[in-house]
Amino acid sequence: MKKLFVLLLACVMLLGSLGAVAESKYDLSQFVITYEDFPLTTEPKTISLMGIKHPIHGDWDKMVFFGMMENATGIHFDITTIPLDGYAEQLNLAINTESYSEVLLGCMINNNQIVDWSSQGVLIPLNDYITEELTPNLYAFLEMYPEVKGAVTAPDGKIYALPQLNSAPIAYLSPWWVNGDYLKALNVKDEELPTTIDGLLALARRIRDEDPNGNGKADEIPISVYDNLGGLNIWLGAFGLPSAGAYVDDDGKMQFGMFNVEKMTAWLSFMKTLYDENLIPKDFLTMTQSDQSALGAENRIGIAMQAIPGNIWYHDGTSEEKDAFFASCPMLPVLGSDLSAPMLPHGGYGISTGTFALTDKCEENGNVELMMRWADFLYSVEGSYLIHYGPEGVIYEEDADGNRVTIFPSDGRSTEEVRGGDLTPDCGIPMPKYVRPDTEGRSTELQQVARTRQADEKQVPYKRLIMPALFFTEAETTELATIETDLGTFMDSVLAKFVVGELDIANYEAEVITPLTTNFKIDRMLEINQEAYDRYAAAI
Amino acid sequence: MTSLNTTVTRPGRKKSLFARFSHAVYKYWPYYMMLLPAIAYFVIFCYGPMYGVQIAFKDFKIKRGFGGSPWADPLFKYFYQFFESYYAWNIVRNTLVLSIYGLVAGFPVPAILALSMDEMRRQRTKKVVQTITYAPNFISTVVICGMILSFTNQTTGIINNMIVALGGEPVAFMYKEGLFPHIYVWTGIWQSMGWSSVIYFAALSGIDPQLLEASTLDGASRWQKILHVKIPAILPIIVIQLILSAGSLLNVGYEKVYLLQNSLNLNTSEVISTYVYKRGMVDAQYSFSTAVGLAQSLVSFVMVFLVNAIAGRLSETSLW
Amino acid sequence: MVTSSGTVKKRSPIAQTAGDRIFGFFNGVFIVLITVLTLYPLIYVLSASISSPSAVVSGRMWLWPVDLTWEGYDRIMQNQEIWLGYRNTILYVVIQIAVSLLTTLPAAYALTIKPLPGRKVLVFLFSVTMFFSGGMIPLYVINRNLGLVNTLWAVVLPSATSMWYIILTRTFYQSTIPLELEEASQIDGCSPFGTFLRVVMPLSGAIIAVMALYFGVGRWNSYFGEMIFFRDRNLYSLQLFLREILIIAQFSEENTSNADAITMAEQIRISSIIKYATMIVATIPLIAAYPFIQRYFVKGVLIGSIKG
Repeated sequence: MKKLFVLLLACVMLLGSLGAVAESKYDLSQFVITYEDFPLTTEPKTISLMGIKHPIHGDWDKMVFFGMMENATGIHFDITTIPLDGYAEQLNLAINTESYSEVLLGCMINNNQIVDWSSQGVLIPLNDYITEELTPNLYAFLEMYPEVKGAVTAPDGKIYALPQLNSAPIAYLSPWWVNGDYLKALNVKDEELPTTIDGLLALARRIRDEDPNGNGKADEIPISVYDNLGGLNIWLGAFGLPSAGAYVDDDGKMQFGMFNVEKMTAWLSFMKTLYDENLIPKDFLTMTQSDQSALGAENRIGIAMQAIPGNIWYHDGTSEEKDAFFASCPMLPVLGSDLSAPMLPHGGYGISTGTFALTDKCEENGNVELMMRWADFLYSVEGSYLIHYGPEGVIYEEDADGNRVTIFPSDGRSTEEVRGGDLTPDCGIPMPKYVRPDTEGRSTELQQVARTRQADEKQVPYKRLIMPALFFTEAETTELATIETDLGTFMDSVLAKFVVGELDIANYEAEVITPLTTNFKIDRMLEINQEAYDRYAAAI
Repeated sequence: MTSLNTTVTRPGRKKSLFARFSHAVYKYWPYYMMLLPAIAYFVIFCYGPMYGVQIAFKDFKIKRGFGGSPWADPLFKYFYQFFESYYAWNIVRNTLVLSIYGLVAGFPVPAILALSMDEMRRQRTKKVVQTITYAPNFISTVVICGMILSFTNQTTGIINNMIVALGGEPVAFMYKEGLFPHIYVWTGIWQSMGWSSVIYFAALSGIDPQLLEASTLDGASRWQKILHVKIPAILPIIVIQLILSAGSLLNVGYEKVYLLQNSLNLNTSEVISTYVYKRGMVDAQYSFSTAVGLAQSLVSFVMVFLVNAIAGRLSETSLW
Repeated sequence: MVTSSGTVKKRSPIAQTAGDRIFGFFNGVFIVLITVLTLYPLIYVLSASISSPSAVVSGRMWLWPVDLTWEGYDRIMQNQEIWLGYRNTILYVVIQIAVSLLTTLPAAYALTIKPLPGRKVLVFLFSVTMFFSGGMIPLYVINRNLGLVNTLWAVVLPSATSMWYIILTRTFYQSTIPLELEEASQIDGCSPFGTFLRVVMPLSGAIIAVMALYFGVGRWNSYFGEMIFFRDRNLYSLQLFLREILIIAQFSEENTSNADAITMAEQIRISSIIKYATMIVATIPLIAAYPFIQRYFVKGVLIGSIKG
């Protein structure tokens, strides 16, 4: 009771004293954070903060999130934002001209910058502040997810920046979707969807030949792929290979996928079949996502890879009708083949690094502990919810089952425009938070619910990590840059040539293995990766 | 006087240098005044920041700045790094092919276009045609490349539709590495010819009409007037632009090439700028890209110097 | 000579020889061909900006608009800041042209004076800047030290002139303005300034127009300097606002983990026409301005001045 009183009093005082907060078009007194550790300071304190402003964002200091946090914690931020367009140059300039802030929130700091800036004393190590007493949420979070801890630990063994984690499987597993209308026309039931490569080919051929969109023209694209090989390398898994490039085998050793002649040639033959039989668009190397969504809008696509069916197809009607249609498009099961049981390779765990860091200026002003406690709140259930969705009652409310019901804005804007414009910077720019496994699924949108359910049922049992997110030193990055750039060029062009028939798959060894071993320093690349992986394994 | 003159020659030389300088300033000061804004601009905004060039030879530490960053070890580390790439020579070759082809094919077109339009009798039509050819220059690269890809699409592109209508087989234009330079260069010419011819319109308008009248009186045909009056009038501009273009032989812009690139044409489409860009995605390094940029500049500078010397011999036009 | 010119005089200028007619015919064919080749893509872009995106991609739209939609323009015009951007950009362009002409034209004239001591050294030193530059950080530091950051001068002054354009202007002066004319004016007692202002400038309307066009278009299309040096949104130029619109459109393509998936999917659909529409919004004024430049490409200015 006393605590609440102090909190309310602080709120009133702050509201009276700060113009920026009073300007907000939301009445902040109705949005109150009740949290054990708050307020962090009894006398108002001002700390400088720098962040990247997405074009969808309104002014940061008018955002409800910052207003609520200020009222609850007693910390006021002196905010500098950098526009997303050209932020890399702007950040460099800020560091070079000593005009950076105490706190870097949502600055999308990459690992190179972390190594570089920390070696020059700009970023300070945070390890000593990640303890059960001071930052209980963060501490528990990193203990629960050793792979996250490994991903954020710099080569010197210290943590300089805090991450965001979306722990839901849908955040890191890529799904293929099948057109629900086509399946009805072809009379294929959900449980009859293919689970092998041969089954997929059979379904794709039916889509090509049997005019499932019923327009009398053979204009269906059975499997839509764009932007180079698109998601086709996911199906390397069906042949038992996690990746054509480097991956970690079951013994924790680095391997190089292209060296596996049997599996690579089987995969390439499958892709060549897709291309030769017109099961993928002839122009798959030059198509873009816009092309795909335009074809989807004309109901010409059978199977495609996107986060949700809504990003592929288009459907006339009300939101509810659309939602029902998209929910009726099932996820394609993970495929296997004669060579392997079903396997779904994935690249990481939905981790975005570099979302929160503190500079030497913060240390000079003695604000490190305060800011770590501030950040710790964001890793709590309430904090992670608040920074993403804003307070309940603006763009969502919870129903009796605890599911989010979207409140559509009355002023004609989309919910994203309200979320990023008025509520929170966690829109388009990754922010420190921990999205619980069940958060995404707590929706009343049928499509969203269907997606999370199917990810759990159809994908999770078969997932296979290619390689965890590794943290390299500066020298390692430089050396890898030359090797990997060349290797990328070689792999892209040689694989595409096999698919379109410019090279003969029978000559795989001569065309691939020989140049790989003679022209590119693959051994060295694997060695560097192995060292980084060993450091990672030691850190977790 | 004469004897005195000979005796003071040596010590007087310095004095006369100063005297020459003050004499120059005294006599020519209005011209120096005219140059003053330009000199101030070049000193402040071009030579002022020039110290930044040194990061090509340094391990740039952003906070320590240019002076404080340590020298790279070895000094030419970043130059070597470029040539460590297996594709380095291939990349240099592609860059040269695109730029030399672009120069040779693209250079005459704007001049021809200007001369041709200059021959048009109807002023109104002439202006409209000028404006139409001028407009494509402002279409953004992203849109241009999107159009190229959609026109050359194998199933829906207008070019292949015409080929099929004429009984041919569709051609995968963007998949053929041999076609890439042609596509790149000719779409570039298409886009910029009108814009580049603007300077020639200006030069042609500077021709003394009496000269044209006189040659008409002499019985010169239109073709002869082009050869003997109009081309000589725009020749200095052509030569000067040619000399300056020699400086951009290694600079093929990144955006258009990158957008038209795909896995099957990489062998002819990877150029220095796209390579630097791709490397930057793995390893965002200031020093590496600056080193490559500096090397390009050095080559450009030498090229312009050479071409200028040659041009100076062959014609009267020269940079300095 | 006299007789031949006399006969020609009777036939000219209306009557043409057969050779001239053939030449005129082929010239006409060439012009028509070029015009069609350039016009087609222009119409295509215009049509694409108001056609349904799927009609564009599927090739149903190949010349005229199909399934008319104004969604692309709607989305741009919803953004009130576009007009602020137009206003700022026009202001910057005008100031840039004024600054650049004041810097470029006199300098180019002074460099035509052959006996000017130090001329070759200056040309050489100026030319070096065409190839070497110190990069963004040193430029930023200089702008900051001069107190220019977050003012329009931070973008206008660093592009006040360029050696390339000075050389072009100088070449133009040299090839079109007769030396005798300048000498005559000097003998008449004109100072160098007087010669420049009263003899050279009136004769170089065409090159002034071209330079104004070059510098103006450069400023109009520029965004990088604006992006780095402007903090205050009120200073933003049209290009910056248009880039923001494009980024938001692409954001919908990437953003997937949200409550409002349906609305987002709609936006992906129109993101490709936004691309065409922004381009047209940014370009129309440049094309509309061209006729004003064309006025200066008229022959016969010289003759009047000699007689006068």
